[in-house]
Amino acid sequence: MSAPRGAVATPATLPVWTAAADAIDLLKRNPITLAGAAVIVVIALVGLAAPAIAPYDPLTTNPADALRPPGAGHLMGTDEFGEDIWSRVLWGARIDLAIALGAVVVALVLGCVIGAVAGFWGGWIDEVAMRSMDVLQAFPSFILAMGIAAALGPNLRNLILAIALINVAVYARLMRARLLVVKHALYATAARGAGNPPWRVLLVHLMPNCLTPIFVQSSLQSGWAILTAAGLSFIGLGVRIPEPEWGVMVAIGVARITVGAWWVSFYPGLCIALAVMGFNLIGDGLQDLLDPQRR
Amino acid sequence: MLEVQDLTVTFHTGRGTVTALHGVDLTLPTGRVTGLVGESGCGKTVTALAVMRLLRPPGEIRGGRVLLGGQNLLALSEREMDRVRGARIAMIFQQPRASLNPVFPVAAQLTHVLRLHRGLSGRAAWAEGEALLARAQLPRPERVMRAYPHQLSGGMCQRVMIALALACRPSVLLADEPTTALDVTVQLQIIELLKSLQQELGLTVLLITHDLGLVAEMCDFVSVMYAGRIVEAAPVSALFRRPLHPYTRGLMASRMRAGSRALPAGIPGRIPDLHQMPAGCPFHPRCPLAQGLCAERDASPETVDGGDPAASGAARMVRCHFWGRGVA
Amino acid sequence: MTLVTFVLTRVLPGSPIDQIASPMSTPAQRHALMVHYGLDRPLWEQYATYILGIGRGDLGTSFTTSQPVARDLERFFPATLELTTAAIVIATVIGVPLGLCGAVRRGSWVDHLVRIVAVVGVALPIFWLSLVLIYLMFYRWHLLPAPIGRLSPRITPPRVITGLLLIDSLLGRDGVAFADAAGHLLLPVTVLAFAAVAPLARITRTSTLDVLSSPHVQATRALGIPWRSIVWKYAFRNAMLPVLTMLAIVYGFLLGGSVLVETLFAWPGLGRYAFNAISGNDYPAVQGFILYATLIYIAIFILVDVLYAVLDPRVQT
Repeated sequence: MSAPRGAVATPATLPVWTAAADAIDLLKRNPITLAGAAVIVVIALVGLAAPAIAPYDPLTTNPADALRPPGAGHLMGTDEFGEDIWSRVLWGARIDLAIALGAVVVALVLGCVIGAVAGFWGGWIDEVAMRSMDVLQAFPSFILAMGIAAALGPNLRNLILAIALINVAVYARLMRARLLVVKHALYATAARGAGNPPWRVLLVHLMPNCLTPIFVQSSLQSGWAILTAAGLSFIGLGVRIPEPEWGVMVAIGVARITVGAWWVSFYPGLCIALAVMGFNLIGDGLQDLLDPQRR
Repeated sequence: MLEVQDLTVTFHTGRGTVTALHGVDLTLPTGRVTGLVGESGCGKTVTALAVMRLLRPPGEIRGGRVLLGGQNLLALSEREMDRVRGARIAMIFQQPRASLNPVFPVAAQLTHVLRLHRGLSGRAAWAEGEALLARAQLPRPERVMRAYPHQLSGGMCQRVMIALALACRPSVLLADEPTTALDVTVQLQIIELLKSLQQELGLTVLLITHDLGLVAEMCDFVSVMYAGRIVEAAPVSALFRRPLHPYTRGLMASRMRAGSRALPAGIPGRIPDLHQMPAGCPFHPRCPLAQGLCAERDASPETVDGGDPAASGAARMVRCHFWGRGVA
Repeated sequence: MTLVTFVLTRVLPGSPIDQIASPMSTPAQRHALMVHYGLDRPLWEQYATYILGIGRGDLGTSFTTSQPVARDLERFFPATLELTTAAIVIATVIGVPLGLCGAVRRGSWVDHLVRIVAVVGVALPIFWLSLVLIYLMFYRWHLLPAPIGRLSPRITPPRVITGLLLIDSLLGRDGVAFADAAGHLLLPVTVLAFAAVAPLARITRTSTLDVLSSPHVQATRALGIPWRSIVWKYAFRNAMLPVLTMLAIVYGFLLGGSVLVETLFAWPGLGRYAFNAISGNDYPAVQGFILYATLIYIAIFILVDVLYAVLDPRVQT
C-alpha cells in the first residue's frame, strides 16, 4: 500500500475497477476461463430471451403429447404432462441464474456486513459474530440448507434465503480477515484523523479494499448455489413442481427413467452441470489471477 | 576446482522469456573461498542453483558448462547428477528452518544421505550422524537427532544443514547467504564454524552474500555480479584496495551492512527489471562514468594485471568500457 | 447447535398433528394429541425438555414411525455409514493418486485428466448422475439389479453383526448375499465417489505442487536424494496434511449427498429417513437427523485432528 495522497486519502482507483480490468486481461490470455465466461453469458442471454425464443409456454400441459422423445416439434422431447422440455430448459436458465445471483448477493451483503462489523469493532461483537459463524459451519452445509429450507417453507424466495444463509459465514470470514489487514493501513488512519465518523471510514475507505477476494469467491459460490438449489428443489424443498426449474425438471423425470424416458431428466441436468462448470471455470481463472503462484 | 563457463539461464514468464544469467564465468580455486556479491535479484542464487542443476521450471539452463574435475555437470543424466549432489557438491541455503522438512526429525534425512552416498548401515549411519552434528558444534547431538525443525533455533537449523551438507564429504560447498536470516550473534558463530570446517576439510567454497564485510573476512577471491553478468572478478585484497568497476566502487561506498537488505545508498536508481533490460551495458543508467558508447554496446570482459604483489600477481577481470577513469 | 436445529424445525410450516391425526378426528382428540406430544406448552419449555432428553440420549419420538427417534436413527445409520464410507474410501483410493500423479507429472495427460475431473466432478449434480447411471446400467444394459434398497427381496439378509451388509455377509460366509449387496452398493457408491474424487484430487494436486516447490524439497534435492524418494518418502507426508482436512469436509458433503442418493435408490438409510421426515413435518425426526449428522461430522473432524497430530509434529497433542 503506497503512502496516502492527501489528508482524506482514498486509494487512487477503486479496486473494483482494477479487478474488472484485470479480469478482461485474464480472459484474453486464458481460453478456458473465457469458455466458462462464454457459457454463463449464453445462459444469461437465453434466460433473458426465454419468453421470445421458447417455442411453447413452459407451463402449458398437453396430455396428448406426453413423453414424446426428442425429435421434430419437440427438440428435447416432452415430459409426462406433455410440456415442451426445450422451452422449459430455456425458462429454467432464468430461474436458476436468478437463484444463484440472489443467493450470492444476499450472502455477500449479509456476510460482508457481519465480517466488517466484527473486524472493525472487535471485542465482544467480534466474539459473538464469529462464534455464530462457527456454529453455522459446524453443520454439513447441504443438511443445514435442508433444515432452513424446510423451516421457511418451500418456495423460491426461501430457497434463495436458505442457500444464502449457509454461505454467510464464508463471506464474513473473508471480509473480517481482509479488514483486519487494511484496518491499520495509512489511509484508514488518515481518514479517521480527518474527522470521519467510524462508520464512514469503514464503508467508504475500508470495505471497498476488501472486495477482490470476495468477488472471486462469489463466482465459485454461484456454481455451488445452483447445485444446492437444484438439489433442494429435487427433494421438494425449493421451487415446486411444475415450475420450470432445472432441479424440479430432473425430479419430474425420476419416475419415468426406468421406463426409458431418459430425456425428461437428462437435458435439465446437463444444463445444471454446464452452468456450474461455467461459474467454476471463471472462479478458478480469477483465483489464478489473484495468486499466480498457485496453478 | 569448479569452473563455470558461459552459463546462460532463462526464465519463461507470462510476459515473455527473460535472461537471468548472461554467460556467467566463474572459477572456484580448490580449497579456497570465493565470494559472489551483488544486490538482491542480480542472479547469485540462480547461479548456484544452476550449478547444482536444481533450477525448476520456468527456469532453464540454455547454455554453458559447469566443470567439476574436468567433468561437465550439465551433460550428466539426472541419475548421475544425484550421485554428484550431496556427495561431491553440496549447498546450504538462506532460510535454514524452511530448508528442513517440518514433519521429519533431523535423523531422517541425515541417516538417509549417509546410507545413500556412503553406504553406511542403519546403526553406523546413526552414529555418524551424531558425530556430524557434534562436529557442527550442536550441543547434545543425540537429542538433536530426534528433534523436529520447529524445536530448534534458526542457528541450530543452519548447523544441521551444514552437517547434512558435509555428511558425505563433498569437495565443493555452495553457501547461499547462509547467515542472512540469522541474528547477528548467531551469524558470527555460523561464520566461525564455516571457516573452521573449510580449513579443516580443505573445502572449495562459493559464498554468496551481499555483505562486503563478510567477503573481506572469509574470502580469498571475489566476483561481483550485476544483472546476470559478472562485472568484476579479483583477489579479495586487490578488489578492496582498488575496485575497478564503477558498480563495485558504488558497493564499497555504500558499505552494506550485515543483514541489511536495503539498496546500496552509494548507487542511485535501482536494479533493472529483467523485462526491460537497458541496451548496452545494463549498469549505464546508474553509472557515474556512463557515456554514449555504454548505451550502445555492452563491454566485454577484460583481463587486467592485478599489479598487486600481495595477490601473487593473480589476474583480475573487469567488464567496463571506461574502468580506467576515476580509479584512484 | 441444538438451539439452531430446534428453532429450525419448530418453525416448520404445517402442524405435525395433521400428519398423525386422522382427518376424521375431533378438535378435542387433536388437542389430546398436542398435549400428549407436549406441543401445547411454550416453546422454551419444549426446548428445555428436548435438551434434557438429549442428555439422556433421548431425541424424542418420531410422529410418523411412532418410534423413539434415537432408535430410528440407530437403525438407519449402518446403511448410510456403509454407503458413505465405501464412497469416501473409493474416492480417496482414486483421487489421491490421481492428484499426486498430476502434480508430479505436471502438464502431462494425467495432469490434464485431473484438471478435467476436478472441474466436471464438482459440477455434475449427483441426483442427475444417479439417474443417468440407473438408466444406462439398469434399464438399458441390465447390468445391475433394480435400484431399490440394499438387497434383492429374494436374498436372505445376513445375520446383523455390524449392520454393514458387506461385512456381515463376509462374516457369515454368505457369498450370494455379499455379491448382491455389492451389486446394490455399486451405483450409489459410484455416484457419491465420483463427486468426492474431484475435491480430493484437486487438493492433493495443489498441496503436492506447493510442497514440491518448497525450500525443503530443494534442499533435499541438493543432498542428492533421488526425486522418486523425495516425492514418496518426504513430500508425500507433507502433502497429505491438507488432504486430511479435505477428507473431513468431503465426508460432510457426502452426508448431505446421501439424502439425494438414498432417496433415488430407495436406500434405507438416514438420508431417506430425513427426506421422509421433512415431507411429513416430523419435527423430532428432522431435528434428530440434523443433530445426528452434525455430530457425525464433528466426530470426523475430531478424528482428523487426531490423525493430523500424529502426522505433523508441530501440532501439540
